[in-house]
Amino acid sequence: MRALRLPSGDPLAIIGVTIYVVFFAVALFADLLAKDPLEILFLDDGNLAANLGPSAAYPLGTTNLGRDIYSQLVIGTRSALVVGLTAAIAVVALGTLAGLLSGYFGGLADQILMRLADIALGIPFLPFVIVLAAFLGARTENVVLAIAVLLWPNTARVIRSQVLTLRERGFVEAARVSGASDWRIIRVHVAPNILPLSLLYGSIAIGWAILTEASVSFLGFGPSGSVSWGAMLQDAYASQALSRGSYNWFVPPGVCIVLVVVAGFFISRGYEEVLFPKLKD
Amino acid sequence: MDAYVHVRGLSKAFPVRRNLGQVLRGEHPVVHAVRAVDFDIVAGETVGLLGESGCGKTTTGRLLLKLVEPSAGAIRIGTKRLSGLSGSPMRDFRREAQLVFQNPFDALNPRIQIGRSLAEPLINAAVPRAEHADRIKVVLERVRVRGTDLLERYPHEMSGGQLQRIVLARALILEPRFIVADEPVSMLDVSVRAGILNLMRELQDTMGLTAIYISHDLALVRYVARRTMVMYLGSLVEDGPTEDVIHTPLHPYTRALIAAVPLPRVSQSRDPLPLKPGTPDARKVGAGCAFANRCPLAMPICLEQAPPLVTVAPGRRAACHLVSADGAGGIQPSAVRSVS
Amino acid sequence: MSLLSVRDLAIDYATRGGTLHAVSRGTLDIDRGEVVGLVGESGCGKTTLARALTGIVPRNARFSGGEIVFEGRSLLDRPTSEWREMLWRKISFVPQSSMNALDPVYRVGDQMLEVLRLRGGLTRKAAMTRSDELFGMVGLDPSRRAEYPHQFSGGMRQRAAIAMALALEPALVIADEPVTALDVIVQRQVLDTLRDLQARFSVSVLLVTHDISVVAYVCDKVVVMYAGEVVESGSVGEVLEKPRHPYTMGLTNAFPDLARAGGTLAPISGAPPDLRSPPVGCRFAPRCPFAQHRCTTTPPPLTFDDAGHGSACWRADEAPVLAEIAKDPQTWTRTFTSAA
Repeated sequence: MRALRLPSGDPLAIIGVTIYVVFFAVALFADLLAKDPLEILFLDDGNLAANLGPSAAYPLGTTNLGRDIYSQLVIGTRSALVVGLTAAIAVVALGTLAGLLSGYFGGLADQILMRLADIALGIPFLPFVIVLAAFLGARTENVVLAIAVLLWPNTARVIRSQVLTLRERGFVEAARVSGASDWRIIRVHVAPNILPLSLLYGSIAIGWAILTEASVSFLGFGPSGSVSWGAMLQDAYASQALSRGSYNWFVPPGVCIVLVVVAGFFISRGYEEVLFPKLKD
Repeated sequence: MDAYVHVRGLSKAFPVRRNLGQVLRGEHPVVHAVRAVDFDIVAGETVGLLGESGCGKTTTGRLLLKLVEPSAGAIRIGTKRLSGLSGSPMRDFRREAQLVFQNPFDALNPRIQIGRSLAEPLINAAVPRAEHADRIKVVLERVRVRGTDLLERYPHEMSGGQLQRIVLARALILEPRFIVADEPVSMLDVSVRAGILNLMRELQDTMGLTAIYISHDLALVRYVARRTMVMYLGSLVEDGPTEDVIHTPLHPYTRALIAAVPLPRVSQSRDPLPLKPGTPDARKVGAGCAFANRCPLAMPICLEQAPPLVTVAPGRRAACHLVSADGAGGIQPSAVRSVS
Repeated sequence: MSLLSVRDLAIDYATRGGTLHAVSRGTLDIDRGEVVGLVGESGCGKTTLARALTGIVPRNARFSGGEIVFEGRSLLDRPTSEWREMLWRKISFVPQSSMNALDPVYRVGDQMLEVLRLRGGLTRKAAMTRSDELFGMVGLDPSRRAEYPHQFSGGMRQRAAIAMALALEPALVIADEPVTALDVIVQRQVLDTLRDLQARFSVSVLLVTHDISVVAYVCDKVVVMYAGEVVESGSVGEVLEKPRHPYTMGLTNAFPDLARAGGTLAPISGAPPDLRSPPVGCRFAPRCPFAQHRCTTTPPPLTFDDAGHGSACWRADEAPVLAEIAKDPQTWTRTFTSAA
């Protein structure tokens, strides 16, 4: 579909897509690439293999509890991508639907949806996620749910304003004059024209979701026993890896988070150029 | 002869943004875009609807196509009363009446190929898919566009003139009987305008279309329409055969409008316009004639009472106290710039 | 000696699709106190050429040849800063939409004062007096200087823009489609104001427009551009009544004349060339009904007769005969194809 196509010549978008492809591959083949991340390792002399530096056996060293950092990083890719993608899909689906309905039909639907959006936007982000995790349990689904509930209004508002201008465009009027139903107009004339915008917000939401999940885990409200980049940072922080200078522990997950978030922004930039070609010149 | 388009008391008021005082007082101010307009159009006739921006001509066109609902008044087109039209008769109406847009660059969905844009009305009207290709071929011949490769192109790959032909084709593909053309050439370059205008003239004849041609340009209206209605701030002020309107305008506004049109020649009148300084403002129209504040011939009565649109001669109407007073029209033809 | 002399000016745009030769042969002269119309269709380079005279060009544009001589001095050799310095005081600009010229967040009067004080070096008091004078001259009520641009109508904004352009009594005013967005009556009033003030200050005006009627109404001379090149120039009477370039002939035929009843308008078939790869010979040749072999191989030079009527056509000496043939709409009839 044309609307989905990125400008093939945009180097940043290519970098972004490449980063995603690599992380996807890692997440997919994580079991082959890594060992059990929670296995406690011992040295040949029977001592706990704690706080080791990088070596051939443990490329990124071990944690203070003797776990393989490399394996945690690789397995953590999965939860990052699962959270990022499901949250992004939820945000985009909710936001696009709400934006389309309120922008196209206006009136009461618009009033209700936009007031809901205002309320959602008024809720402080992290506290809400933490409270939700506390009440519903610290599970990945709840983190995703919280992100979806809080991030949809941004997408919805932008989609709505785009729909408002589209609604006044000649070709939408033309469709009305030729007897197209509202649903057909939305499906054929409005939705395809806002799809790149949805994807722009989706690619931003992936980064946001991963960042949020990491923050929540880092603050210790994440799903217990799970392996994620945020949880790794949390462990590193709690065991004072920073003051010990165990860069091999806290730098890799940090870099991975930054890479995924940045990749999302690079791709969204590519979509921006599809949407607003003038940015290029 | 029975009218094909029958409009009585057509009015449309749009709400305007309220200031704080109005909100507190609970007022709902409106601007009257169209004020109690009456007219008939017989089948096969092309009528020009002339006026300046904000005079209500575009709103009138949209009312006639049921794209907006009137605040008051009734419209009948063919056998259909537009008020309350829905369901199957509404779908029939959508096949019967079509719109040609001002901006061809905006009238076609940029993400859809030309061929699909042309098929859209057929899909909406549930024309069997097998017939689509033939219908498209026929209509493209009508608008003089050749080359089937064109159907696979996107709008941005085409010139304005070509696009306007496609827009016209899309309007004609369901074989409508009634067309509203809203400034169809104002966005086009001069060299291609003539092609579209000629095409519209020709189609009116060959397809027997009834058409309303909305424009601010009297020269263009004259080229396509034998009858012209002039609007000023929502009201019809003059109606008659185009040549009569140009040569013996009855309303002082029409007179000023004609005098203001520049001609593509060196020798032309550069006299001051027969107008008093003042600006048209739809929000400030009171009880009197809307044009009174700019009218050089305004009398005391003009400020108090709006002149009705009266029939001066068969097919010739004007809304001016000078005209109503002595029947034939008080404005001396000598005051009108000779234009031919 | 002319006030402004542009010779073979070339301006290129760097675009994604390659170098676009927006102006390739820009040649025109403006004498003191003269109003010159620059006409052509969209994309012909008229706006690029006119704006280039102010030294303000888009970032992706560059001067790639020719010269601009203003008051006897070449402008292109001078640093941009010096050129900018001349803006308002020597050369001023009236844009198409004065919403662009007027900053929406400042009062109209304050913007005028800023020009007078910053560019003209007037004291606050002198600037106030002068500003009231200028408001009066363009027909604006000086008491409205405290209003913001959005409170003005389109015509009033254009008047304010003209007043600002004339504020420092420049030698040359460049007006880019100054009346295009206006209604016909307002257009006429603004043109009258422009012409009055032009005569009073004996300032030169370069009026960019697509409308030859506007040119005929206010201009002394006209320069016709097609596809980035000047194809004809001379006095308005000469060019409009005895056109020498087939494009000018086509343009006059395509234009409706309110004073000429009946007749058929003739479009020029086809579309202007892509200026990234313009035709080798005459750029109009692909659309020209009189094109011969040499027209497609060698570009005709712009040559002037003793009366200063210039044209760039190989068949210019046959012009009177061709002009007669060109009056027949059939001459211009060619089937519209997708390739065009």
